[in-house]
Amino acid sequence: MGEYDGVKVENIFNTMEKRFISLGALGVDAVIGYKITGDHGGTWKLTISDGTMDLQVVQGALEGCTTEIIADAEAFVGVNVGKFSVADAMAGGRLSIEGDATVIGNILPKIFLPFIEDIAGGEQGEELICLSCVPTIRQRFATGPVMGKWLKGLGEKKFYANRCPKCGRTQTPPREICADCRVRCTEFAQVGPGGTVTLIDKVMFASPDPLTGKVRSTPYAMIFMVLDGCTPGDSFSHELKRSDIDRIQSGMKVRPVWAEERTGGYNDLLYFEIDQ
Amino acid sequence: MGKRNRNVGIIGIGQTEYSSHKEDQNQPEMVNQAVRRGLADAGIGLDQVDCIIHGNMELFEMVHQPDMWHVLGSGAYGKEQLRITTGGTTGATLVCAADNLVASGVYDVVMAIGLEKLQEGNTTGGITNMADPLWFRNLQTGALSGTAASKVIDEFGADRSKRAAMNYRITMDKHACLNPRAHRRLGLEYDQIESLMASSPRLVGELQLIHMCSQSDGACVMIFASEEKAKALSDKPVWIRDHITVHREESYNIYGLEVPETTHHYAAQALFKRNGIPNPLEYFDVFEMYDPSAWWGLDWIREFLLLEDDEHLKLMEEGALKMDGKLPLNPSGGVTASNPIGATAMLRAAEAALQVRGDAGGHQIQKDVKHALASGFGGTMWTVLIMLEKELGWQEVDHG
Amino acid sequence: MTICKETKKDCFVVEGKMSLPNQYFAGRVGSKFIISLRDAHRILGVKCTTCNKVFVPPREYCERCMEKLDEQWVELGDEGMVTNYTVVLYNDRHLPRQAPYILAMIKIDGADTPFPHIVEGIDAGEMKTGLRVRAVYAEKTTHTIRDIDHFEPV
Repeated sequence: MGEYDGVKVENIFNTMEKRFISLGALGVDAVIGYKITGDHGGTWKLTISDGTMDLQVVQGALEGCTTEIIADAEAFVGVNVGKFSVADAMAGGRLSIEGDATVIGNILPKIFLPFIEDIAGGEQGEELICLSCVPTIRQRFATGPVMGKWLKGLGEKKFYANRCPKCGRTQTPPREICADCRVRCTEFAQVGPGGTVTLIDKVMFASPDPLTGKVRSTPYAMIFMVLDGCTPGDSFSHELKRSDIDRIQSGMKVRPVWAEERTGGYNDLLYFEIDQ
Repeated sequence: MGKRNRNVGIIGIGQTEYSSHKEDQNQPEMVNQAVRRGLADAGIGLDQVDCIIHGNMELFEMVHQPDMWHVLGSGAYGKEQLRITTGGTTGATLVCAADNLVASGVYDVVMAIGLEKLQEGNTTGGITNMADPLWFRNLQTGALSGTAASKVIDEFGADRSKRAAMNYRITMDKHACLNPRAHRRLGLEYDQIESLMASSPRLVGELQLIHMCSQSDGACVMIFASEEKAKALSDKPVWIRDHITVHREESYNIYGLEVPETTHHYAAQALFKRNGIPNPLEYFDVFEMYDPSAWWGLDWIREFLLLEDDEHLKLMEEGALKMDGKLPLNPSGGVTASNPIGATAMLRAAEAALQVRGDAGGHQIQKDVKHALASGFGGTMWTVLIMLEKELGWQEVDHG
Repeated sequence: MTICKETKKDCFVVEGKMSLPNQYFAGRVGSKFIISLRDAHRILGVKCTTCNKVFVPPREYCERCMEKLDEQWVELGDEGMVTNYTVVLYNDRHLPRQAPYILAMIKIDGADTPFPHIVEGIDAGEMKTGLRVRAVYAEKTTHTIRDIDHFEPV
């Protein structure tokens, strides 16, 4: 059919200029390709740069896009008029995204007002104001002596857990109190550096890091492990070396890989790899 | 602690429709829509409400203390108001708090408002910000995990487990299709099990897009009254029998070599034991469970109903959890269909109450619903469990 | 645990940031208000007949009596009165002006509720409650209340 409720693909593209919010596009650099199949389909290339937009109809192949949206016409319109979400269209196999997928959630809503169908046939539809912003707040966090020791330990390629004087359990990273026993844990214990894998999470769909807007390239894997010397309930997690993703299994031994230059902070520990 | 001071009845329920396109309403207006419906359902005016309690996920809409702004729509102008925000369990905690406030005698009528407008915020960022900034925030990249799926698969094998999870998902969708307020009504059929298992994109491990809960906008309002007022104001008050909130330190380490008891199991054990219910599967007529994904939903049937081995998979496979089954599960469609997070946990109690009243409309269970169970869940493995009754006269409980 | 001097050696500070994109919908009523400022340079309010109040900015329902207001629009002029004010003396990148600047509550003639906005064209020392002011519209739209750029003394 290629349309939804009388709205066609061309309506979406024809109104892009009118719906464009140049303020929201400041600082955005993206080239988004649209490959729409079916009746009223076509290929379009949208270039956003310097607070401006440029939309071109493309004959033939799309080139130079940072993101490509591929969908059948009905699904594309359905998503644009709010009948169903991008996620549902993807779940149903009718829409797919290549390249930078964060554009869908992070950029498009900021630079375009939502498409509102014309009411009373041909008259200007009701305009609904939608504002986008990115509030940014600088923060400074005190580590305290316990996390401070942990983070500094990373600089020395060491893991400092602490131990509860009453029940003997370790906590990795260390926490000041054992919440089971409600006592202070003042004794530190060096644990690891290697450990045993308990569970693996292979991530195909990454969520963007709100601190940087960046998304880890997928697939990547997070592993849960118990470091050597830790009590059995004390789990630790970190990223797995990408080339080990296909081989990793629960029960395997892993070891940490450190940054060449360490400052005594989070970035000193790069990832874990299988210890053969 | 001791015994309940006085009984509390639910006398009004109001909900907005759940969708991801509410550009035509701002937040106070969305709250107001649910408030007006709740008041109309109760047949009372704002002047009869003593206190309003308000909750949603902190900072998910990037508004600090939104209950202040929402006074424009909540009716809280000139009234006492409390704000409660406990993550994913917020909606259920609001129900428990309303129960406690009215039972205590401090207020006779309390209105609880749960809402979320995720379109206006940043869910992933909100969740990531829950992690401590010194360590876990760097690691956490969203709320998704495939570990629930891998645990079920390890125990029961890939084929049976994946089919059961997809069966679960389709059942939830079939229920949602009967609920006009539900957000996602995909129209799935059981003969699609194979094709969905093959085609739905994998997010993390065996967690597929189709298994995941929704991200919805919407608001829910419930009005609670003391026994005396409830009987005077309503023909069919739904009574709150008991509730429990469990948030345990052991849950911090569910990925170690020794896996602790889940808070779901702990809550169910404690709550049913003190209420003299040896067999929850037999006792309850409906269960509205907070199911953030089909995998968790499947796994937690066993935890909440205190089942063993593969009894929960069998229930699924035999259709015992469908609308016309032995224990209908989520006749509203559950969280995979609609998830306005600050309201989601409240929806469980609200939908369970509608079933008890016989007012659920298209998704009403046909048999008489006397005993209802509703659960809430929060991302730190926090569980809230609530029991509702059609009639008074249950055995009083000492909370010990 | 009291932090004694010996343990302070492991304490330090980690820089962080919270940067979360979000959206805000004005809704039907809010949009009509903004569009009127933007395109017609006209301030609109809504009237509650039960409370006999005109609300600016407008809202869909009266928060006190729940009367539906979204079809009871009132066109107002550009002039009003300062009901209160303050002088902002510090700078922050979230603020709309460089310090010092005057932030006032302004009740447009015909409205019963004031709203905050910037007053320019008068020294802080001369500022007073009751000052008559007039809206000055912005050159470029931001689709917000700042489509009124500021108020100036009449």
